[in-house]
Amino acid sequence: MSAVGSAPALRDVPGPSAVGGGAKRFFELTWLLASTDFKLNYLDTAFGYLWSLMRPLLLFGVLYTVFTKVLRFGGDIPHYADLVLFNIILYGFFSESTTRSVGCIPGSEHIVRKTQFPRLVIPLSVVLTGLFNLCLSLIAVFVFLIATGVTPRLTWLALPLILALLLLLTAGVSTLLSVLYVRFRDIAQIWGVLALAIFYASPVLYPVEKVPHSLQWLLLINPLAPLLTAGRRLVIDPNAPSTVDIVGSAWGIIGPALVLVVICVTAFWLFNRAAPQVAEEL
Amino acid sequence: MTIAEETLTDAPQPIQGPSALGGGRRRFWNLLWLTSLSDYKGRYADTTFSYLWTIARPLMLFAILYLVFTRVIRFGGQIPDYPVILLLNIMLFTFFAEATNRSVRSMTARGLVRKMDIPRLVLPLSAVMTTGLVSLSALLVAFVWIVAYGVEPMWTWLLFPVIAAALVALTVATAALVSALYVTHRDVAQVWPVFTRLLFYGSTVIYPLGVVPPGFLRDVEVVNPLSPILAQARVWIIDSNAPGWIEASGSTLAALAPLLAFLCICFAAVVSSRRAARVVAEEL
Repeated sequence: MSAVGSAPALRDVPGPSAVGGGAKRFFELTWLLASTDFKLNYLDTAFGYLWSLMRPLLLFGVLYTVFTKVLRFGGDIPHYADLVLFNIILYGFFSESTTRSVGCIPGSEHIVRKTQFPRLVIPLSVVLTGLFNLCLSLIAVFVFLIATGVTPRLTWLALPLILALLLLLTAGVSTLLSVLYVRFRDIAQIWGVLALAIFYASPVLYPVEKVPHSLQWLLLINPLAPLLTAGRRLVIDPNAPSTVDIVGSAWGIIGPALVLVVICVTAFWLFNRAAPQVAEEL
Repeated sequence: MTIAEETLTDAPQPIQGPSALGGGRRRFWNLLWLTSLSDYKGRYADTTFSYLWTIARPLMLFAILYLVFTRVIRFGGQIPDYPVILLLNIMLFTFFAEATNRSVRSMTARGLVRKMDIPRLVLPLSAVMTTGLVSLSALLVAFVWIVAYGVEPMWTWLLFPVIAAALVALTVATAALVSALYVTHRDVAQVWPVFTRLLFYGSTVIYPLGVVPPGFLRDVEVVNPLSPILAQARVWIIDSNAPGWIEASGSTLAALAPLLAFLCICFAAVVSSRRAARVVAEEL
């Protein structure tokens, strides 16, 4: 911009930004990048799709066997197998999308440097690819749920609401990570551990009612906790307690919602600020 | 070899092709040291606190797992000294998992194999060695914690090099195998991280062999070459009253099963390395 300013004869050229260029172009670009990535990863090789489905299923198989047979956990939890599988798939979407988006801006250096397009497309397209995978995996999950005796209910139709919130959280975290990584390359290593920590700290392998009183503060700051719990109530077990029941106050839902808002606002603010110069930092 | 022979039919003497080990012992060690050192410097130069982080990572993993397993899952209460066992096991397993994962792409990385006649096995070995250098300092931190926790120093601590040697041998064999397989099967890079993650839960890291119910699961644990290493580490370092490997596995015959599995890995590693060493430069 300053270079343009030194030559007054030229008209002002808008630099690259986070979202500029019109909503339609934004969505088209996101869709194009995500579907290209998806096709490259999963449709070119028969093994690719099978593997993307096998990975969470294998993890589920091992974790379920170890938890029920060796650690003797989950015997008193109704539909424990369904719960673990459902949670692993939902958490898998969050962790895979965020992990893949950490290095996504330097990873698409070839287009960042050459064309002017809204930069936010890059992390969002990674999340969208993850969402395609999630939808394919959910088909397998629902087959499993019905096969193991979970009765289909009308509340299943409310699942997209949970998925939308999960998508918002994932997009927020992905955007935040991708913009931080441009400056601080340590983020890649930190997030590797943090994602694993979140896996254990969230009610993925255990339901919320098993969290002891001394660790319940974790439920107040983790946006995944109410999402997974609500997913369980809607899809698997309507009698299961919600985070509000466990924590004992409305903060069980307000706390995580605040965290979600803070993540998204910070992510957008940082990304918007960094977008014009991001090509120079690569 | 065959390619060299075909293209150089006029040459008076056959030229020796690249191999896994060839080129003399001294050169092998020099190259190994050099690649490890440059790998080490390269890995910890570009990020500011990378080194500390590598040490802190298993400690953090331990802290989280400890909280979840003792407080939420309510496991480990009946196992004496469970916290230190868990920490030591995580340290040992992390070395194995990280070293093998680092070595998967080592043969093809940096394009070294195209440029010089480097004994191919140096490349996965240097990945193991670099990880080993960092793991040593992480292990030191773990030992401080073990002493602080109140484990009495025992003479069997002197046997730790035996545990380390067994673990390194297993890691080297596995690293050579996966890196050689990666040359012809690129899917290994996708499969191996998932496999090590599954192995973390499927090995006797978070639980001792004693609590595994008899059946298929226990048979798998008995064959797993990591099991005797972790079992003996517990006996020699932390709790001399814990069952040793022979006692834990049930019989002398069963106790030898992991050794057989280890030998199988070694055999597969040798066969695949010899094959991969010749073709790797063309498969990049």
